[in-house]
Amino acid sequence: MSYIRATRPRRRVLASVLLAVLATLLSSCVVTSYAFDHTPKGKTTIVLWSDVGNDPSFAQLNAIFAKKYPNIIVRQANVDMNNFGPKLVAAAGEGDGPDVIVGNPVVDFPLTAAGGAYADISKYWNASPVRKVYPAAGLWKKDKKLLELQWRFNDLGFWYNKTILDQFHLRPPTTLDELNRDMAIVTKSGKYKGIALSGDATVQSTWMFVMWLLAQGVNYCNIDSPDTAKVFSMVDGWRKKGYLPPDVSTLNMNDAFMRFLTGQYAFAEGGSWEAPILAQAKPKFTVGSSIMPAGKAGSHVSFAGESIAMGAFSKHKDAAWKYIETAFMSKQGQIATYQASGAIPSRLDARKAPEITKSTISTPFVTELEPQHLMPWPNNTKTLDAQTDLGVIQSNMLAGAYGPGRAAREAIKRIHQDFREGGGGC
Amino acid sequence: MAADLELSAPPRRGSIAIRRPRRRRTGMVWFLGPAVALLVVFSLYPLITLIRMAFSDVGPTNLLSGWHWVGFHNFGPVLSSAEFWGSLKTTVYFTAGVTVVDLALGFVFASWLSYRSLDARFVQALMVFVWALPSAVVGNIWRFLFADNGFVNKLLGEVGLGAVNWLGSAQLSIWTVSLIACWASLPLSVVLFRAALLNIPTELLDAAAVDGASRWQTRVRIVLPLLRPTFLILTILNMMYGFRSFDYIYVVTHGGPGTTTTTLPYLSYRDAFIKFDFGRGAVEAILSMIMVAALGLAYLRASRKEA
Amino acid sequence: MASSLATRRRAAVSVHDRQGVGPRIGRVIIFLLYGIPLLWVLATSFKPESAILKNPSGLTFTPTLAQYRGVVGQVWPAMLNSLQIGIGTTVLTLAVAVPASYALARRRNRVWARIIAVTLGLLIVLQMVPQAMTIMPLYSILAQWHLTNTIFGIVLATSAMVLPFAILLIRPFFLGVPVELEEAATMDGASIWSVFARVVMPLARNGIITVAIMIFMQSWGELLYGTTFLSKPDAYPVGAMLALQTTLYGTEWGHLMALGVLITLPVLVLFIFSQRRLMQGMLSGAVK
Repeated sequence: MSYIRATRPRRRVLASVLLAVLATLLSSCVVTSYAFDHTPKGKTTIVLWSDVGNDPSFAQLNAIFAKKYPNIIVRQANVDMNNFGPKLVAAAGEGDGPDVIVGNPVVDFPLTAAGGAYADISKYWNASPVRKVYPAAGLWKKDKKLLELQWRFNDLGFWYNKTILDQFHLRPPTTLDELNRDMAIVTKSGKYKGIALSGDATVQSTWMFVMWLLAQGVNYCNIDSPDTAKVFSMVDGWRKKGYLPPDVSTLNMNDAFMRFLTGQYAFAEGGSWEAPILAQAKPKFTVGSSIMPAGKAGSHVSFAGESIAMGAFSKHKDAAWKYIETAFMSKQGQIATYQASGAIPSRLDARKAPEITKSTISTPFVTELEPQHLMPWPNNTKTLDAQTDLGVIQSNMLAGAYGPGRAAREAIKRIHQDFREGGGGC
Repeated sequence: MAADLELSAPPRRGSIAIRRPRRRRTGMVWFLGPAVALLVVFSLYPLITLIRMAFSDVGPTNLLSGWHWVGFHNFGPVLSSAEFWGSLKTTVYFTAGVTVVDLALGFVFASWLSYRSLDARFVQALMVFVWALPSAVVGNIWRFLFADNGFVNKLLGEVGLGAVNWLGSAQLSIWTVSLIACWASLPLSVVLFRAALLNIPTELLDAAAVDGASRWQTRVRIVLPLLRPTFLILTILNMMYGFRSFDYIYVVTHGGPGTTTTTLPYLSYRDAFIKFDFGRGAVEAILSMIMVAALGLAYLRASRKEA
Repeated sequence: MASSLATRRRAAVSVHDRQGVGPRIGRVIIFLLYGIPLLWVLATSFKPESAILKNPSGLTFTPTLAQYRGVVGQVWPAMLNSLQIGIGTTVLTLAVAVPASYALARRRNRVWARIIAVTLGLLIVLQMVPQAMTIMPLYSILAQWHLTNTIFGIVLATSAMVLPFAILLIRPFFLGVPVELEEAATMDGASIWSVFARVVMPLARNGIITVAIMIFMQSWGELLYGTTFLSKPDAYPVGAMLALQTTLYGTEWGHLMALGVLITLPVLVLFIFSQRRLMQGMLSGAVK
């Protein structure tokens, strides 16, 4: 077996080189203390976990905070939104976690709150002057504990391509009837399509779909209304008449707005967070926004958006609260958030600031947050299940797999079932 | 990669090895030990947790502790739901699509690539590059390319064909997603097939050529039988891959439109991590694991009998 | 058993080399199938964000390096982390998988044959456990050992994840090594370890290298463990960088594509490098 001996020295050299490289790499990663952990002398470090990635708001909020509290350093870790809830709960199970948390309570509150990830901030909140200018809708409570505060509101409004509307001498529709009429006119030309909706099987698309139900006075709690089937028929009719993107059943809410940006669609459903995207895309047409077209029950929306919370295992709770209050809850911070992200402030006085009232694009989204338009989320622990199920059903309909009648029946059945499992309340 | 992969080697039958000296036995335990230790802690323990979860009532409030044993209580709702059986059907379609296309195209592409020319090597490198691309990137490429206003439909328009609703049609979407998965997994099949093809001794093919067999006759009569072991391992790998299909579904369709691309792994993920019904998600995961294990076992037994 | 013969006698020049037009056309087809989508990624990574938003499949735009400039700062540390994860996982996995595959390729007696059958079955089952379902139990183990937020913790978890795959793929290479060679070495008085290290391993070397490359590729881009067990941005691997480009309010498409190109480049280099090495190893005929 001479060949073995012949190749051995070379292999040994190779192996030892590899081992040396490996040892260096591995030892460096065990020993390395990350800059993230570093706390300069005499200062406090608090850790923020956020699921909104490189949101431009943070730089401005941190600047506001650093000015007032130069001795508290904020370290931010962005967390993949898809693993956000499980990660927080897993950490909480080991008595670990960040000091401050920015999350999306509409989709993760049931898990993160039950998993013990948040501290009760009632004590801080009751002593805070912000209370007086803050809407009750923004408070996230469980078992009489205040766990999260809405940092910013995102609601859905109505976007239109003014360039197209002008061609047909149309004014932005304010009712569903007008919307139906305008879409018929615009699409008849063959040059344009009606509305860039989303219809994939996600909770976000459900949220967008529900707005059409709300306009007719239907919500999760009275889903067995006869109007449910009518709304399903109306939306499916849009698909059949070619008003919608042909692949609407694959689009999420961001894809849908990207279709609107192509300039081929007269209308879109979307939030005020599209404003920075519009500024970046610089479309060649004029864009306008309004509140959602009204049905027989008026114009209604339900909200989403990011919240701010304190970690249950924070060792610097006072510092964490200072950060929450100064950066996220101050009027200045709320306005800065609006300017960077387009999201609507939760503080009522910030909504009245000239920076926001001046903007014609944002005004409808602020209006929609007023009590006569804003629908609360159902008070049922299985609301998320109901949303997930409805998402699948509307997507099935928009793909042509379900007729509108079947879709409505399924929706009623599934939502009933979910709410019954969630204790029956609403 | 690995032009000389030896997966074409047939499994050696035990009869040869049984006359080994006895003292070897204890040695083998030490060979296997470290792997078993690592697997028990980091693989078997999570599996046991998953099984316990399937028999417990686990929701958002008790995800980490305080599980109540509920027996088969979680299984009933799953087994009686249309969604579960629909997903099973979707998973079978997806797996079948991936397996057939991967084996057929894998073999054909490998035949085209089994030459020692520079361009063959370049094309193979290209394929491996794709194989190494993260699924988040691959999935999103194809989401754009297959969109209604995407590149594929534009191309169809150029040649005078109408636009196809690749991902938005309830009938087509599962096949489109399985095509995307094939595109990403084909490089592996091609690498393995090509290695096996290059391993075929020249004499055999020369003999066939002398006998006057055509290129395709040679391929079907001589080459295909020799590639049996490669087909076998690729079928198993593809079946497991199909039944684990999660990433492309997740990135490209989120199980939609509706439930048309909701495979079992995605259904399990959705129920556990979006609806937070972890008990139900665990049941679905376990049922799909049992099915694959059964499939794999049946296949192995059948192929062993044949051999 | 013609094919076992085949593994021993490889022709330096295959008969396939007498190629006609067919295979050449075939290769052009493959090139288009794989080249066009890749070109599209490359093009998108040079596209300004505004152009992507307005028309994602448009091909007329002014190329810009802005996307690369936007990610290059975060991508280097992430690549270093991923390199550690990739090398660590590859070495640890091979260190346990190679001996294990060998043990599972030799049926010493009836009891051992049974152990092999059970272990192989278990490996297939373990391979099937959905990764997402392992997060909670693994997090608690790693936390108890103070291994969350360490690269080593990720290496352990990822190794366990790829180990069944590695064993299942390496085992056939050992099956292909003739037992007669081992017997000859044993007659010469070599111990079981030296037979394994000096006779068997070198013969399965190419297979091991191939599997090593696969493990490296898989662990290099691993996403789920990297994003859930690490919560210090300094420690994030490339998979986390990719995941963070998508938020509820949109995806940084240009960044995503630029990152995709950047983080695949090292893998491509590794492949090109190893392909040549493998070819040479084969042609020089270490195995005769």
